[in-house]
Amino acid sequence: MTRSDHLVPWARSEDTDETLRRLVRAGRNDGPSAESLRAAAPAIAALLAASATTTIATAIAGSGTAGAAAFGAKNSLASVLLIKWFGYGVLAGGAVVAAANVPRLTGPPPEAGVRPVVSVPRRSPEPPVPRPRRVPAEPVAAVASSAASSRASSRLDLAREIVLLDRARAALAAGAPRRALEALDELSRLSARALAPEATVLRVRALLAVGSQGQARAVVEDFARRAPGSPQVGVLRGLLEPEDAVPPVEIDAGSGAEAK
Amino acid sequence: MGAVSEARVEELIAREYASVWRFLRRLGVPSSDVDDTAQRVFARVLAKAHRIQPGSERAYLMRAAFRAALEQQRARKRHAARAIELDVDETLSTCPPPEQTLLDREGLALLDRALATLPEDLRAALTLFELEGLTFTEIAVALEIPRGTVASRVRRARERFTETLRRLEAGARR
Repeated sequence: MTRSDHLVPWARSEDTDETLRRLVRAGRNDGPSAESLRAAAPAIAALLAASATTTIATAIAGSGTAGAAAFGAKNSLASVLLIKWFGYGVLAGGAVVAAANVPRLTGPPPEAGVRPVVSVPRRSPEPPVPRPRRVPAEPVAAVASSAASSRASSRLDLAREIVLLDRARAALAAGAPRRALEALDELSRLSARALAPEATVLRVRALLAVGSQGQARAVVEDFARRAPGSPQVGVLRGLLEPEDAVPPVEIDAGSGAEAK
Repeated sequence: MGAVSEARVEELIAREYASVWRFLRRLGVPSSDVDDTAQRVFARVLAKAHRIQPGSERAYLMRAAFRAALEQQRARKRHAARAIELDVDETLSTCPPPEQTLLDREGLALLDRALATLPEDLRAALTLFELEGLTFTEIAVALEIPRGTVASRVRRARERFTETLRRLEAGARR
């Protein structure tokens, strides 16, 4: 593959004026932050795993490495990536296994133990784009047991839940409560509920930030009804008090000007 | 990519993530959305990695990025009345990385203002050629156009870009 001989990029042409050179240099020097780069691979792995969740859950059969060999390349890769970045994965047979036990396609053995959760960069709320299209899976063996496959898909949901929670948190911190609510709505559609109290706190804060005090109060009362002994109930009720409420970030109530 | 290994995927992300990120920014994807969009682009392409010829990954990543940017632009236009959370000036209002000089920040602002006046196809062609160093063949794959069309598209983009730049600079001097 070669460039055209008749068109030389501005950066390499002697005829390019100084202004253009400066702009090209600025464009080339731009790039993601170190935090964004660190978070990219785990987030991509979580997205891959989420899109492969159904496939993985129905792909397991038998036990041991023979079952793993039945995975398509994409499904195995998603599992391996999850193991590396979240410390757990899925093996043929439906059992959720620790990192050390999962067969890999290539490369060194996986790290043992659970890796720390990597936060999604704080400047990255959920964008209004369609999710990646699901690619049809390679032909695979039947499900071993519905209980085992539901445990497997719950673990993958947990990875996605972590990513979505971080997105909601980042959106709220960036003054974008509606985006936070979109991420939380997507979160509520997942099966894993382990992180629900934290999600509820974020939802109440986001609802207060968009001015929906009534809805925020309803969420708090619903949570209090379901989990009356939870320490989060006090936190949530505190958010509803005017002096503790998150102020609206879009419009300043006093001057009418945009807040911030 | 053929048979995909974890090491290969990590290498691809390390090699191409910044380039895809920059391309999305030059296409107008807001700084608040670009990380998520870039991650989704990689996930989309990696999900089909077994169908991509080794060495062609960059072109397909840029294709997915171009499509994603267009989708976002259409969605933003549809929801324009409700879009009250977007920054007014994306480049200058965000927190720049510490290594970005003031000169670069100003250059980037002017670059993005001039690029924003171009239609998407010219904007993409110019960015991929001048800033991201893609070959004509790669640009053709990325923008899903015949290879023979790439040169004329880049030339037209250059003409409009430099004309806009002159206008902007003349306006700034007054």
